[in-house]
Amino acid sequence: MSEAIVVLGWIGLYAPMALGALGSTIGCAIAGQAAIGAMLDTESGYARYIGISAMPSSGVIYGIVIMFTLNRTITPEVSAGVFAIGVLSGLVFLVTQIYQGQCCACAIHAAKTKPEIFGLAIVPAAIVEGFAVFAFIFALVVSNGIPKP
Amino acid sequence: MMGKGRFKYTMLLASLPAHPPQLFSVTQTPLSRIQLNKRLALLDMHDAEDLRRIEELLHWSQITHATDEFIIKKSVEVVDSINDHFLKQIIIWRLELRTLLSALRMRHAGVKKPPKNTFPGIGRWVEAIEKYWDKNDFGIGHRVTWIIPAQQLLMQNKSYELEKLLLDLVWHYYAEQCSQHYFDFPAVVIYVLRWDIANRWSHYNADEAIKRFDGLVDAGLEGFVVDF
Repeated sequence: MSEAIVVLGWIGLYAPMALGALGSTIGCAIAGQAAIGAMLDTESGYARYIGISAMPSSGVIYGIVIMFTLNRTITPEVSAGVFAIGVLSGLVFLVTQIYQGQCCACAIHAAKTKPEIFGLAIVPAAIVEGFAVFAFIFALVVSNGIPKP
Repeated sequence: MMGKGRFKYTMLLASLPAHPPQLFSVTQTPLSRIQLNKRLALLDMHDAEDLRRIEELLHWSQITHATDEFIIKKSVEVVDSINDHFLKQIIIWRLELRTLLSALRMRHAGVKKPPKNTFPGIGRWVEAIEKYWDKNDFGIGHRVTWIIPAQQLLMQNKSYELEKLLLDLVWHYYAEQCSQHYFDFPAVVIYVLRWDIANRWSHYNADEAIKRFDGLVDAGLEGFVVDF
């Protein structure tokens, strides 16, 4: 039984990094395709399209930081806490980065046709990022409560 | 959640220039057919085939000299072959529009009330057409708001205005339907169908159009070589 709990602890330790990377991959791929498409249709502004398409990469960075924060000797006593914080924060990074990628794709598509709305078009993506930041910060705060053996 | 289907053609659609909100401001298509076809090469084989069938069906100038029975059979075949419910609705809406217009033209040409189950058409209005043949709006004016203006224009022989009304109707219908689809296959289909309308309008010659439209007095679906 205690081995199974320790396995869950290890899953929780690596989950924010793995799920964050997965979300960032999907998000960046969606936004990146929109950026490439927009570059086919426009003569300028390429850098900002690529810049927006990289926005969903933050999920993996948050995941790495959470992973290091949770990193400790995994024992049955700490496994439950590590699992809960790691998996839940990882899921948040996964979902937010995918949806942020979708927001970025729409922003690129809209800004391509109407460059003057560029700033406003990325606001939805920034709001989604805000929720990922909430999850990140509070995962850091809560993880302090898990004892280090 | 992953949005694979909804974002299947992100690159393709992002590479297409937007259509203007108003059809009649169009002086040329946003991109040439050659350029459009190059972008459409990004479609997978199955979707490309679906698009070809839909475009062929809704661009009836490609199937002239066909009988009503052939057109109806082909339309049903195409609708049945499409898996996407949303696309089916789009196609059926357009076929219903043609059915109603065909009925208006037939009646205008002096055709008498057709016996039950004999009117050649597609969709939910066929029964109403047969039942209320003598009513100006076939008894469905409250549900199909364009039918009264269309009937009045037809009565006044204002072919040019009628064609404009119908093109504008289809243009805005597609724009409305597209509001829920950004980067998926239905969005590609709607873009191409709107491109066809823009192309038609940009090559529009009012005098020739009036002659052509007025020439379609032999009625029936087979006479329908216009694009709406």
